Amino acid sequence: MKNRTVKVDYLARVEGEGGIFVKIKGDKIEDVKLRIFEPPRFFEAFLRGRYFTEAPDITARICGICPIAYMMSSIHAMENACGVTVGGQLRALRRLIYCGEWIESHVLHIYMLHAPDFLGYEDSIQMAADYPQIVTRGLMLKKLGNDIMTTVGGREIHPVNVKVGGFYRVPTKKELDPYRERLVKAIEDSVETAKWVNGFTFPDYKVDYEFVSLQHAQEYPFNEGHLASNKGLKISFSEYEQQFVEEHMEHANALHSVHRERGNYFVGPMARYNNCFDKLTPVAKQTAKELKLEAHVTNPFRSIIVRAIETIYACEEALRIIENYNPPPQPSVDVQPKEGVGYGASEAPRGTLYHRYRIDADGIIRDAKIVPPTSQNQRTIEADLRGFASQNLHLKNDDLTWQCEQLVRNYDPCISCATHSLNLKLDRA
Amino acid sequence: MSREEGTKRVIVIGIGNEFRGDDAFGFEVIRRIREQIPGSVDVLLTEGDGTHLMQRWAGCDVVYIVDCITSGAPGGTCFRLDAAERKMPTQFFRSSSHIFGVAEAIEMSRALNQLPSKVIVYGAEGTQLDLGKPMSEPMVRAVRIIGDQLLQELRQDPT
Repeated sequence: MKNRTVKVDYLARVEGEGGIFVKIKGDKIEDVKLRIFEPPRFFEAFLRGRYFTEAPDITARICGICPIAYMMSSIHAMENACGVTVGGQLRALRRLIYCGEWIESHVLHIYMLHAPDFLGYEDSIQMAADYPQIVTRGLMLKKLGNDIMTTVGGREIHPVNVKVGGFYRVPTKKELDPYRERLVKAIEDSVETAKWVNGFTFPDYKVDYEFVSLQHAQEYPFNEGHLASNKGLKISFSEYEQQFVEEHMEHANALHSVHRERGNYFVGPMARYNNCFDKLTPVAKQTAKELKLEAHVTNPFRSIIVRAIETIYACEEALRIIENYNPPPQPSVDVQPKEGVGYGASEAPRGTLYHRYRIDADGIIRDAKIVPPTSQNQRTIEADLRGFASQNLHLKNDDLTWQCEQLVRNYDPCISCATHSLNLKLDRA
Repeated sequence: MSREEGTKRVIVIGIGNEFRGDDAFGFEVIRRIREQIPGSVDVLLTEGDGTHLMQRWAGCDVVYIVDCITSGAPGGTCFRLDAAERKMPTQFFRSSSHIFGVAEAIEMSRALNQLPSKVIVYGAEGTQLDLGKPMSEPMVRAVRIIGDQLLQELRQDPT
């Protein structure tokens, strides 16, 4: 019986360090492991003993690509614990900075990390030589996202202007107004991005996933609402741990989060799109329809189109916020510590990010739990590798390896966040 | 200081993570020589996101980058890499976990014909990159060596 291993020791174009191992015996997949060897960073442990207002700035350091997600989930959890709700223009500014993060992260992933897979390039640099105008468009879009982060957050990586209760300083109308023209152009550019990626060739692979995301009655979700899935889940953030549990696997420094009864699930742009399509903005929705993107996407390779649709959404939403912006009289609301447990979840570019904190009457954090999106997707990535590889055993090792790497990048995994991983090993031993 | 017409626009960029031992190299070199860097030269300390770097050196004539390098050489080994002479080795910059880092930014700029006419990377081999660790002795020595060399080159480069 012919055996083989497909192996990629260090998977490029993902954030963090890890690898994948697929062992094939004859015509069967014998073993699949998403190995994560990025060392654990013990953030949950060293949050203990810190003051509750320090959580956003500490947790922002978990990731250089999605710091806003960490800040927002922790802030909402703290405000939940203290019985405070932030509304009005402060809430709008929170959505605006999240738009900036989605734009910069999605555009980075579409143009620099994932498109080369579809076009047969080793990396975006080779791709840029053949597609200079397209890559330049991507860089301009990403710059816009970064600039929004800087204007609202003080700086683009690990912003410093976001706090429990609001902001340290709010931008003036004059600071935000110049973005109106740029965002109008960015909406056009992100529509062109969606058309461009829609022309790629997608491997034929579909799965009946359980898609989990935030859902909100009025808006496409960033940081408020409830958790929902296409398999009937509808829970508040405080019920998350009743439904989901983290499991330690020997081969990964990142915990696997699974649904207690139904096992693996899928968070991220496809989950949000499938669960919340009706809440997309007009151009985003219209572009999806024009491109004949199904309202329920089940081919994970088509996630690159969904990311482009979400980029349109983020640009439209940012424009709406800026057009309606009036600086609030105070940059933040007062939040006094209150003994209790707070729950927060928000939609990082790559999926739902859950935080839970227990604080004492003095505001000291006594316990913390953080479940990043990549932890939640790991088991599904492994299931996909098993499913996709078993359907494509006829491929030569090089081609199978290429497509398995591509498959992992569908998830835009952030291994640093999850370690919490990537290199790929296909073993046809 | 306003730049006179016809003079070169120069930027010095220190890259690193000050919480990871030797990875703070880029920051430490710039901090050591900052007061002596001519006022007409832009200075940037950053964690090294590639697209950010490309934005910052757009329109510049001369770019000096200082970063920690991991090539397998003995700790503290000093490098001067000229982008005009060679393709940037991506594996040298593994110490940064950023997906799109220094080497990628330089090569992307080259592919898009946007690379400034002179791009020099000054680096030193880092060996102690764990979180919370201090900088290793060889790297502390390299901070002085590279700082002096960079200053000398800056002074020779008319701005």
